[in-house]
Amino acid sequence: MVLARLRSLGLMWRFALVGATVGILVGAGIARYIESDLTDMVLRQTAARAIDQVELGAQGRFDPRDLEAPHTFDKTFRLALQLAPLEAQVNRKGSGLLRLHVIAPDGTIVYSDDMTALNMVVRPEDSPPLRTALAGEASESVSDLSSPRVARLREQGHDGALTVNVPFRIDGKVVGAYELYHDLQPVQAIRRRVWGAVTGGFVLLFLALLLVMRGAAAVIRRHRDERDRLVEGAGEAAALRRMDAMKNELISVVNHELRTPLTSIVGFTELLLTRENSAARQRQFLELLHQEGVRLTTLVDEFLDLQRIESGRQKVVSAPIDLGTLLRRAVSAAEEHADRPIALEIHGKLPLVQADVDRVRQVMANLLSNANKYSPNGGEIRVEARECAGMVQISVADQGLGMPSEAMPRLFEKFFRIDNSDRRRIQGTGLGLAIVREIVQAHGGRAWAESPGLGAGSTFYVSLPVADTRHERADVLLVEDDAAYATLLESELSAQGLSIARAGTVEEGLEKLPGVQPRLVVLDLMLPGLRGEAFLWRLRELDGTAPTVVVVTMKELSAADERELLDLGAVAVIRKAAGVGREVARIVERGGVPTPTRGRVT
Amino acid sequence: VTKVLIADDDVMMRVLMDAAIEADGYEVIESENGDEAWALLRAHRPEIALLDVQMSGRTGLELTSQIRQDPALAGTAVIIVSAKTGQGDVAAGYAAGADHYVTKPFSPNALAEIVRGFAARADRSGAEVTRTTGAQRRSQGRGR
Repeated sequence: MVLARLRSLGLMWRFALVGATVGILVGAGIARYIESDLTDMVLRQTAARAIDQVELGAQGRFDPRDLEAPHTFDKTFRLALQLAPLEAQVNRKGSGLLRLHVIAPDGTIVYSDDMTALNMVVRPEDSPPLRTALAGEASESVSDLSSPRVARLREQGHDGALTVNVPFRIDGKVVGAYELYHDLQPVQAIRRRVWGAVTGGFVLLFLALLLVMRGAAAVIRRHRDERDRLVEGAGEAAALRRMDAMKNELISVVNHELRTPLTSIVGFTELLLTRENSAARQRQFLELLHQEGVRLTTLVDEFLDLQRIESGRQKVVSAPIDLGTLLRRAVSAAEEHADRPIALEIHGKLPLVQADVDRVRQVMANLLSNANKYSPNGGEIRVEARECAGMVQISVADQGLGMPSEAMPRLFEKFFRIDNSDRRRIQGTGLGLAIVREIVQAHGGRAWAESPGLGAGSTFYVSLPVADTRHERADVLLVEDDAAYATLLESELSAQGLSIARAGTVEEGLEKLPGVQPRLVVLDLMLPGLRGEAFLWRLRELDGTAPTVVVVTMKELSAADERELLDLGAVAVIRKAAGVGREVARIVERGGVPTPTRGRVT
Repeated sequence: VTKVLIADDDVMMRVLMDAAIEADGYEVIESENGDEAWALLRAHRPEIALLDVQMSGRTGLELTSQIRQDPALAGTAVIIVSAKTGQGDVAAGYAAGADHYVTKPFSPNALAEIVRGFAARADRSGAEVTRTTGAQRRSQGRGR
């Protein structure tokens, strides 16, 4: 929390705070070190001065017997008289002396400027300084004023004092001891000064250091920014140059690609117009003209297609699609133009992929056309598909011309064509693979190729993301293989504000059922594989969660057949026709109860 | 009979050039790449070579330089027929030693006319050429 608050402070304040903290810590450490030495010195000085003051005041002669027990009032009185000048010293303002005790060898306080302390007994064995003084040695110490004999000082607001114990000699003989209490103020003052000076000094020092560092950091940052800006500028310039170079290359390539068919068109037309040609010759030229026209059209189409995809203007309309069906269709379409059969193998059960059907068909057409074109000497073409790490991977392998490894990095570039004589006979725009890559990337997939080398065949791969069908909820599940009718019904139901999920087979319908959780199922009976009735059979096994089913049929059913369907659990049997969507919507609305007036409902 | 080599990697271009000059009765040799064209040049020593620039193997420019350095091919006139139409491209063609540079698209009748011009010159100098050196032949060509 402290850290959080610290973070919310400005940089400058954070610097100052850190500087002050570090200054205080370092300053205090050093002050403490210096202070203990200084305190000792001050203490000794103060003690010496106190002793001088006392000795000065005790010039008068005492009778040693006055310090002996029993301590009578007379003796005390005499001592008080004797020590009057000293008491004046003690009470003098600014002397720093707080209390004076005269202690007899037995520990009795025989004189004190504080009447309450008189006759109190300090046992020498309890007070080492007193014992030392009675043994003839002066000593000083710092007292916390916890002893009863100085209780008054504590009451007066003192919380510590310098205590000086001095032997009381008469004719060189120790007859008792003084005990002096001296204000600690000079020590405290010096302590304050030391702490203040050292700590303050360090705080200032660190703040100064931080300011210098901040200044230096600012300079460094400015230099770095400057450098970054320069580097960035250079990078942008380089990128612009690269783009410019690419554009120039593209223009030169397009120029060349367009010029060749144009040459044919201009040339053959001229020959037709200016020369006498046999009918067969004329026909040949016209065929060539047509061929070149088609070539030019393909080139322009593919180029524009690529431009559209690249610029993002061609939106990918993706939906969960069944690749198996798509691949089968693509392969059979390609076989019409191919010089050999194409093998298709699907490994395991493919999940649906999230893709644009038309675009994926285009990818497959391009890859299959290439596989055919670039294996002029035959060999098998194999299409395989398998699921792999959240993607479906499709491969198209041929046993044709293959590719050199150095061509791989540029393979999917616009107008890139591998340059060798075998290939030159093969016509192409050099745009097919660029289109493949753009489409696949727009789907979030990847396109790549492998080849063991020239003459060793090639394999092209594309991967497409698996569709997330877990949350494909819809009001109506349409189990119908006739795409045209499904689309019609879908638009009718959409117009009623209902959402639709589609399945082409009974298996797919059952598979989708838990995810879609439809309110109603529209079931066709004539389905590929399992018939629609199987769907109804399976539904009976679901307990309570089964949706309402409406059966749609192409031809009129006999009453018995219809009865059988209703017994199986269908709520209505409806003839396929325009307007069925409205009726289905009405049933959904009524919570699965069919309208009695419409349809052939019993 | 005058021999003409046509080297272009695009089959349609070869058909067009062939059709352009077929009425003039040359012996036409076709090639679809630079290396093959070089072998055919050495083998047939055609009087006229129609060379595309962008081919696999040797390019048209490389072929032109090699023809100029080969005394055996001193009698071969080089006509470059290219889709490269920039000033620099044309200059590079002549610098390599081309006798003529035709840009695509081209007029087949104009190309036939050019080829006829070179064929006529080859005929005129036919007898003497057989014994003159390549260098002399080249200076004749330049002085035209």
